[in-house]
Amino acid sequence: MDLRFWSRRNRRKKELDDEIQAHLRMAAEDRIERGEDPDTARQHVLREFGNVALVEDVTRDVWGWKWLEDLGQDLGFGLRMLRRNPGLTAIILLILTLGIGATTAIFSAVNAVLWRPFPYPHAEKLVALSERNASFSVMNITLPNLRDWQARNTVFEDIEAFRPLDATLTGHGDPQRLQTRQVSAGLFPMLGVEPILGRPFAATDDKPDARPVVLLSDSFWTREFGRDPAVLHKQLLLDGQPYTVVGVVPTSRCHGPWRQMDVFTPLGLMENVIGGPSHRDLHQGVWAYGQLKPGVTQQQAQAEMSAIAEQLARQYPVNAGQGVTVQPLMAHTLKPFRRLLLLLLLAVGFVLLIACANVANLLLSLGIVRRHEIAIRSTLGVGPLRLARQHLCESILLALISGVLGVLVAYIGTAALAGLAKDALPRMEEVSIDHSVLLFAFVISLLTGIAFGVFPTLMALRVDPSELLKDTNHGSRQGLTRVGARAFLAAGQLALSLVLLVATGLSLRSFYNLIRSDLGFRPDHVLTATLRMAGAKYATNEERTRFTATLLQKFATLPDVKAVGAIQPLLGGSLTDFRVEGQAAPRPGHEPYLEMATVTPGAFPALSVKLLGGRYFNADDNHGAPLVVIVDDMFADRAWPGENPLGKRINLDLGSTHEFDAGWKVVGVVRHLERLAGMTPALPEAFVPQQQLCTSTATDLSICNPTDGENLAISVGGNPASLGPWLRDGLYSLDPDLALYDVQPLSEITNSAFAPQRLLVVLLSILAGIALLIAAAGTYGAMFYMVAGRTAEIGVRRALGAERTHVLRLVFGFSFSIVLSGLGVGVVASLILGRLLRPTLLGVKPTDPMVFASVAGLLLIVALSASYIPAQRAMKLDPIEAVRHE
Amino acid sequence: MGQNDTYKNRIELVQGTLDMLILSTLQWGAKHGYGISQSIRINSGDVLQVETGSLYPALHRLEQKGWVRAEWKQTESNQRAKYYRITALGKKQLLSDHTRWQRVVNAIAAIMKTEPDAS
Repeated sequence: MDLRFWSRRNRRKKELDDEIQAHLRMAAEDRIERGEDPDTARQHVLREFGNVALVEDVTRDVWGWKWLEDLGQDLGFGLRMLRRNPGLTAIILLILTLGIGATTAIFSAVNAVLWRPFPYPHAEKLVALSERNASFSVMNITLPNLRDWQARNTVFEDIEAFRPLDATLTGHGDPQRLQTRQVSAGLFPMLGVEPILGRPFAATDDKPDARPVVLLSDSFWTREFGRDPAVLHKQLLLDGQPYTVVGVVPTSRCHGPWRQMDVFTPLGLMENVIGGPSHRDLHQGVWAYGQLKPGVTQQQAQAEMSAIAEQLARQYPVNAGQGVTVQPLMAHTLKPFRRLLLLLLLAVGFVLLIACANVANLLLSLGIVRRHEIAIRSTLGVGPLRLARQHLCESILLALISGVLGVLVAYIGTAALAGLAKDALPRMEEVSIDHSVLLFAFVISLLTGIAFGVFPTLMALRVDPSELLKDTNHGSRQGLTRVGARAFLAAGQLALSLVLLVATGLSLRSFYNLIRSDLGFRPDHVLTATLRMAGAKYATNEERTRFTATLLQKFATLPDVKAVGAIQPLLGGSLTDFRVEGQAAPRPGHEPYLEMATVTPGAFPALSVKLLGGRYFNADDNHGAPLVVIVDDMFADRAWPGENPLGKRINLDLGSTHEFDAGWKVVGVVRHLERLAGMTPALPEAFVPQQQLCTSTATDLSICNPTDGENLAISVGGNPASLGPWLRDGLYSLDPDLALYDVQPLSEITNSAFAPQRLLVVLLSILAGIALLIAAAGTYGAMFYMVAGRTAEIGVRRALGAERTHVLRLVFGFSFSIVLSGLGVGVVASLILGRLLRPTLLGVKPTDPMVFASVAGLLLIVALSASYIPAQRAMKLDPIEAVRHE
Repeated sequence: MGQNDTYKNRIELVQGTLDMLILSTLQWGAKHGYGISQSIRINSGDVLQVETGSLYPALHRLEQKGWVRAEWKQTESNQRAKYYRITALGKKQLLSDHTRWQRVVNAIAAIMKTEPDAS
């Protein structure tokens, strides 16, 4: 509203007042003329006219805009009230600021991770395409299938593919592993990411016989070339092959893993290696994104792609049971983090609710002080609705001030949260307070203000002025209603806290189980490293196997080293189809899978894998010797329940021939290895000697030529980290062109694998701590005012001879009734909400009695301690003083 | 409340009727608020008493609708007062209100006639 509006309005108000004054004067004159004396006349006139202020009020109502003016007045009134009670106001602001700040901080994280669109121009039209079968809903795509999808669909503007495949860079300082993605030429144009230097891939680059070219990421360009534009047309030796640099891509404008990439090469270069009809059932790690045509929904795209998959399944027998999954790109990338984030949002919502209940309680106590003022105002003709609005205005004012402070707290909170969660959650570098977070903070503050304002407002409406003005007894009916309301709010806080504490307790137990769980191996004192063998010297399985063996021998001689081995892959496994010899073949489409890994003889000792029966591999299990396999207990229990697995045989599906090879004899059974990056739920495992599997007949087995390098494990007596430099020296003495990277203690890997669970536990503990604190304060407040409200009654009882212990019983009895009803409701709510936690819990049921009992016990102790001071106060009351007390 | 007796024989006016009465009162010349309430009271033989809490909102409403116009003038006793004057639009409104009122009265009278005359 501009100033003119207000000044015009003020003039009108003055005019109305003049008009009414004139009315009063004229009426008085008439009466005086009729012979009344002036004073009586004026009195009569005033009585006849009624409430001047009210008449002016209702007249102004006609003008419109009155609500705005009233609002201003109410806000001013609210501010005055708050200034008059600075201590209470400060406490309320503190509690609300904490609540709103924490909620806003968590929301900003959820917003940044789950809801903020990826930074692409057509982000909403981008989907991720993957294959699926009965066992897995998201699998990478075989190139022949992808080509058919591209040719047959009518729903996509474009489908583009990529394949994560690291490369070793040589001839540029020490050899280093480059995080690389092979991309189809149209991928970056489809995403809307244009090179900041040079040119994108052309269709002519994206072919098997093209001259190899490479795009650099801006971070790699900065790191290795200091953003020198002269890098264009230079050659990089990737896995021994020269690639010409044609451009630099701003990966900082991409999402997730794309930001970590170093270089990109054309996927088409690989078409002859991984494409073609013989590779229709060989999954080589190709993934695809698509851009929907305008007006096409994800569901329509899914329907058409499923139809295409059915066509392909009819056409090619190996495609039987293969479908297509079409997911929005964001959901595809971020789905694993949804539950964790939404759980945190729910938890912080509980804290905010507790804060609301607490503040409502505090305002009720303010309300007692203000009962007289309310009574007077309502006899002066302030309508109940206006009174209610004044109360709400005050609450909302408080909430909005807290909202502003809360946003400041959230600024600090998000920074802390992003640091805390950077291992556990993606996109943490994107967490910020943006417009939507500010809007959220505003809305949540408003709602908070209404939520905690409702109680005191309703109470204010129930004030009966005549009764109040007559009687100031705190034990009056309203006083008791207030005690009831307060008890209700205190019980509510306890109930909400119990739910939070139970969630925290369950998560803590689960996390304890997780870190103490039997991983099947011992991560401490183990150093892991990844070796990339690329180039012509390592083209065959034999060459690679031989070099690995030589290198491991070299490492074994390093000081302090106890055992060395290679295990491939270290985390997760190679999904493999299998048959148990002597058992019926499974139904088509329902084949069981296992996770297969290759190991060298030293790997199990290095990892301290627990042997349950039989033996580890040894040097004699080599090429030419009888084929042997070690299975985990899960496999043994499923394949041969109740039987001795040793000596039994299994067949493995090992590649393109799609035939099951000769039997592998079980020579050992080990404890199931927790694969951390493996399938969920866990699959049974089988381990085979690298020297037996990776022979000349298994050339296309990716497990023998790992795209992301071979995992080595070295167990040492002391600190594993100190061994790192020795390993590099050992490697370079054998071949200076190989890269060794990801050299880190295994415990770091296992720790970071638990990062999401750790984050949940840490944040839940913080939130539960805040909740407990607020709820304890709330209980204290409720008890304190209960005693205050019943001072006279207690005095009378004491005067009539009640013992102190009797008074104590009175207070604690009241306290008990609050606590028990709060806990009761909380337990029921926890039992219902516990189901949400179930998927995140390990080895503990959502109804775990130990957690419930200890949480309830804790709250009981806290609540009763909070009642102690009020009880003491009540006991020490002097009966005479108490009875006089008003 | 002692005033209750005084008000016993007076009739509360419904809103639309009050508008009509005000407009009707203003037909014979501009009046201020007090004058209007006096006029209605006297002309109704003390039966109709306009509450100020209804009168002033009604006057301001009529003014907003353009049925009356207000101006400050001196009274006979040389006081400044706000005088309301009926506008052409107000006269039209009065006519239509009056016609409707007449119809309602006639209709009610027709019904009441079928009862035995109690007075």
